[in-house]
Amino acid sequence: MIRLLRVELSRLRARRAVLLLLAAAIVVPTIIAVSTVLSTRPPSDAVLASVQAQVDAETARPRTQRTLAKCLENPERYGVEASSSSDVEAFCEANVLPQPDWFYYYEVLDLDRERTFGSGTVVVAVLGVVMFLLGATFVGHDWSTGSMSNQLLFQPRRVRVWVAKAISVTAVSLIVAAVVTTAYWMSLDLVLHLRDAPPPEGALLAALEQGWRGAAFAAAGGLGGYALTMLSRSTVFSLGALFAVSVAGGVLLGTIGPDDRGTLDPTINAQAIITDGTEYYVSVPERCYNEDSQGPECDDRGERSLQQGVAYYGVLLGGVGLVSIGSFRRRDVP
Amino acid sequence: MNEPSGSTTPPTPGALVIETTALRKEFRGRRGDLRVAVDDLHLAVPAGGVHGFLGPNGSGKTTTIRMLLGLARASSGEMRLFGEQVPAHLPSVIDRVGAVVESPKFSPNFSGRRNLRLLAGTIGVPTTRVDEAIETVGLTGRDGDRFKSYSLGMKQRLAIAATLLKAPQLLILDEPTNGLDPAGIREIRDTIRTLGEQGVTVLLSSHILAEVQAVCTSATIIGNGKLLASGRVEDLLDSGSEIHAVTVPDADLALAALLRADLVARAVDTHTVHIETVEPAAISRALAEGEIWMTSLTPLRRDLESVFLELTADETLGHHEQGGAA
Repeated sequence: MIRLLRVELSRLRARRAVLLLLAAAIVVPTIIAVSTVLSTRPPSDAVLASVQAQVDAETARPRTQRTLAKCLENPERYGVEASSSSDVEAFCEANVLPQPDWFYYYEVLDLDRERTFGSGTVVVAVLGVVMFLLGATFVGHDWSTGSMSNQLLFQPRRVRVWVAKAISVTAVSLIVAAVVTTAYWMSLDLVLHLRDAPPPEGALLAALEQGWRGAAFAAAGGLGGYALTMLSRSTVFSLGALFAVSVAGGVLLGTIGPDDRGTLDPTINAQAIITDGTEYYVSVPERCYNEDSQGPECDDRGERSLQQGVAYYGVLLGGVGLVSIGSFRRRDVP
Repeated sequence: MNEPSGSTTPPTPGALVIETTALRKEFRGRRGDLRVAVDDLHLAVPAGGVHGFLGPNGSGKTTTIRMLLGLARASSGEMRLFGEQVPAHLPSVIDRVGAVVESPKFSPNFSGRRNLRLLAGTIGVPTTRVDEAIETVGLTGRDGDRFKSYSLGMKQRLAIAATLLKAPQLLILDEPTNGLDPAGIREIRDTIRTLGEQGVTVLLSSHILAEVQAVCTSATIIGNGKLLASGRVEDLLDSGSEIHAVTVPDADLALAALLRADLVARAVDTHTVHIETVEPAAISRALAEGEIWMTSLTPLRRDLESVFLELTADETLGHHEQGGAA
């Protein structure tokens, strides 16, 4: 088995399409990281000076000063219920006088935000798709060229062949995805330290954990792409299935599926795995918008846990895997 | 990976290296119709020599080979390689079998050498064996080129090189000269002949009769997936009626005299008549009774083509059975 594994890893490493996909698995997250770092870049001193000049100029304008005076005279008209005159002054200055972020807004780099709603999820989604393609194209090539039959002339134990290829794809997907996600979060953490704004304690570990969950998800994607292609014997079919499940499936569920689609929706379950549980919108009856009384059926927020997401994809992957092995064992090989 | 458990000692001469009993393969068409590719085939290939596996296109040769090699499942019947039942015990004998099934199938973007190395790695043979195999088939110098850049002849030679990685005792070659130029055909035939002389049992599947007659010591002829004849090539050529050619002054008169004597005859030209009989004396007696004096009587040697055409004359390519009943 070790010998067979070594051969499959060599085959995987030597395939150009696989190398291109692995390059994409590194380059695309790198681009996302660079984009995230650039979009959260603090303003330079020159920009800050320019902004301050604009703030000062706007503050000095007579109209601004008149508005400030009106606010101080009638604070209630500006929505202030002040208990002291200093509160009123502070409120009016903060809301009436120009502030630097009126002229220059930038988002501060925040690991927690990137992990829950931001680029971290995008990186995992990219890795999942890339690894699925890797698994599909790796073995799709064997079928399209007919070299699978040649391989079986040297190793007729088909289950061994299936397992050796599966381990190769899964291991490579897992290692590459884990390295990429780890590097992604470590680089963002490094940037924060270079900006003298280190993340709160535990933020990096939480981000790394999410990255490793994402790597496992991407590896499962690779295994899924492989198993599906061993079953269908066609890369094109597997790509069609990926599209059908991820895009058309979600649309179909949204259109004709149950109100609470969390148990079936692949995207929600993927999000649950990546972000360690997720919330999603549940369609509620029309009357919930019209009547005052609100029952449990009017709760429009559903929850999906990490375990539920893992169970969803585990059943899916296990089912496809078993059918794939069974088919490969029994069907004639062209 | 476990080493093959089967014995690797060469089979004793005369022992059967390939044996099928009542082998049958059915395919179901899209409309539910049943196509029988191989039907009750009893095949026996003894150890040693080159054995031809003859049949028209679509007669079931490749399907039989694919079943023997575990690439296709038999619908019923039994198969044995080196006495071991296959496909159940195929892993224990596969290291003794080299095979090229239909066209050579390798990864097109890998070099010939890399393709062979991957296969060699699967069975754990050293890379020196790859070098030897490449040299044996004459691909040295081109082994680093991509497989897709190879000519058909080079692809065939690479496929044969792959079979040599195992140092096989049985070599199964399915139409190995398909698409080759005359020089390539000659090279492959020489290689096959050499391997046969070295003690490797070769099963050569072909529809080219001259090829089988030129290379093989024994042959099996199938049609419609059924066994039509099997044995030594010499015996196959000697079977059935013999043809004799007589030279006479007037072929039409001679033909009339021969037909009167109930002989099967036909005029070939104005002076030559061919007669099918196992008794040459009947020819001279019939002609003498008609007062026709022949100038020569020559027994004609049958070739495999005539044997093949006789045997397959009533066969149509493939046959169908409706419904599920076989």
